[in-house]
Parts: sequence; structure tokens; C-alpha cells
Amino acid sequence: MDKNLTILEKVMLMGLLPLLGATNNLKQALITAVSAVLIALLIKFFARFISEREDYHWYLLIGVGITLSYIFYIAIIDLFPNLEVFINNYLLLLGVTPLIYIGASRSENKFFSYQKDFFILMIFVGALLEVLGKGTIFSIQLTAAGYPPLGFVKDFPGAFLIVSIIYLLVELLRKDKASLQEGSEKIV
Amino acid sequence: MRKLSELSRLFLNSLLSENMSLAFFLGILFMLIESGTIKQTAIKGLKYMSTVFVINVLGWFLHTILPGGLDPLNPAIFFLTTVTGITVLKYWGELKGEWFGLPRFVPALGLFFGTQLLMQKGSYTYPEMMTANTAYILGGYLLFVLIAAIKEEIIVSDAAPVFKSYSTLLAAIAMLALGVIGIQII
Repeated sequence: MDKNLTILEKVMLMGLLPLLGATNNLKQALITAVSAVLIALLIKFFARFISEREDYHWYLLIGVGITLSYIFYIAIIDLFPNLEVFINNYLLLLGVTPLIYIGASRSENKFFSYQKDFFILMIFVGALLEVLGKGTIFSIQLTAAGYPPLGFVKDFPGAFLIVSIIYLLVELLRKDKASLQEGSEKIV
Repeated sequence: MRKLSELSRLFLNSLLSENMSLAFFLGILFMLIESGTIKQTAIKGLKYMSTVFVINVLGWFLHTILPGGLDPLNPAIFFLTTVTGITVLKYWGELKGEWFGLPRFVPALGLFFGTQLLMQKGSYTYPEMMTANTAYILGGYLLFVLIAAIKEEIIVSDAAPVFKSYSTLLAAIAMLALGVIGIQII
């Protein structure tokens, strides 16, 4: 299943943890997406000083990633106390999300495409989950209060379902259908 | 007797409605990409989950003996125990090679680091920690094998290639998660 994946599909896998856990509402998704992109940029910057790619170099980078996500977590709460309700542990877990280390990879050189796609996806999933699960957008009520269009979506099964539907749409809309066919044949 | 009942409830919650992978998404990515045939996954799962169990206990002990004022050091402790766990698994011949240009152990970080964070958030006593940890590991192991079984079915099915992807696997996990919520309601 890992064969012939597009950047968008890779982004959905590499950023699956924040995509599922930090998209309860649009504000939360926005804060997490911005933090993730900034942390990824900083990791890319630090990675420039590491020429080798032995395991302990990666441990060093991961240590930096976890520290940065912790700093972001604390800084957002301290600087913007009113945003605390929109922050959860998944901001802290950005440090263990593969996507933020993509800038340190030797074989993946489309760093900005990954970050752009992740940012758009986070906003899209966050907005969708908030509208369907709560009937609001940016906390503004769109439907009759207490009557969201698809209430169950705000729980964890909904997150899986929405992400799986988006993944399917991405698969259906991909331009190189031939390579998808080829990749699937390889699986079988 | 009352205490036993509370621990039983904690066990069931941690196994089902608060399953570390279904409710908190920890290790889902790792399970999606690392699951192979059912037999391989069953063996691999034992190695991974026993390691996670041990490092969770280790992480809990270390953060419990740490003075309250040094709480900000918890992520550093969890990072060190995570690296220990990865080293043990590498010694067992796991997590070798690359995944999209990253070392194979990177997708497993969420499972190792996240479960320790989850334990810390629970503020558990020793019996509670052991109960929750056992349930998390058992639940995680069952889900890992179940994902491998679903993946195998998807691969051998006659479905169109577009459905032989992670989207179907994620949809199947969503159905499992709905089932778990149903059990919670019952």
C-alpha cells in the first residue's frame, strides 16, 4: 500500500496523528498546523548542520523536535491564555509526528509541498469536523443549536471516517491512475 | 471489593472506549504501515507491545520519583525511555530500513512517547498504572492483529485498485471505533 503514493497521500500518513487528534475545531486545527509548519522549518534548519544520518543524529533531531513542540505548547498557553481551550496534547505530540522531520530526509526534497498540503488538509479537516460535528464554524453557530448535521463526527470514529473519505477522494482524483493500477497490482 | 470494581472499570475503559489507538490515535500510523500477514504481525506485535509495556512502567517510575517542581522535565524522561525502547527493538531485529526517507523507527515514536504521556495525564497510582497499561497494551495488540487481518482481506479482495488503499483501512478502523462506542453505551 506504500507504493506509488502522491505527496498528498504521504502527507495524510505522515501527519495522521495531528490530522486525527488536533482537528476537533477549526481554531485548534489552525494553531496546530501553524505550529507544525514552524517546527518543521526549524528542524530543517537544524538538520543543515548535521551531515551524517546515523541513528544518534536522528535521535538528536527528534530530541530537538520534542523540545520545540513543548516550547510551542508552553508559549501559546503563556502568550495567548485565551487559546488554551483550543490546545490539546496533540500539539505536544507534534514532536513525534514523522511529517515535521521530512526536511531532514535525504530522499524527499519537496519540503514546501509537504508543508503546504499538510496546512490545507488540517484546515479542511478541522472545518469539516466542526461544521458536521457541532454545526459551527469558528464557534459561530450555523445550524439550530444542539442539532449538528452529523453529531457522531465529533467523536473519534468521526475523525477516522472523515480522514478516510478525504483519502479516498484524493485517490479518486489523482491524475496518474495508471500508476495507481500498477502499484495495486504489485500489492496483489 | 469497591477498589476491585474501580480497577475493573479502568481496565475495560482502557481496553475499549479509551483504547490508546482508537480513542487517542497513538500508534495508528505505525500499525497501518508495519502490519503484514497475520502471523508476522502477531509475532511482531508481541515484541512491540511488550517493549511499550516496559517503557511505560519505566517512564511512570521515573516521572513519579521526580520532584514536583521538575515536572517540565517529563518530556525529556519520556524521550529517553522512548530511545531505550527503540534500541531494544532494533536489537530484536525490528525497525530497520527507511520509510519515505525517514528511519523506520520514526513512525513508531508516537506509540512510545504518546502512551507515556497518556499515563502521566492519568495521574495513576501504581495499581491503576499497571491496570491501565495492561489494558492499553492488550487493546493495542488486538487492534494491530485486527488491522493486519483487514489489510490482508483488502489486498486479496476483487475490489477496484482505488479501494485497495489506506482509505479502506481507515474506514474499517472507523467502523471498529463505532463498535467500541456501542459497547461503551451498552
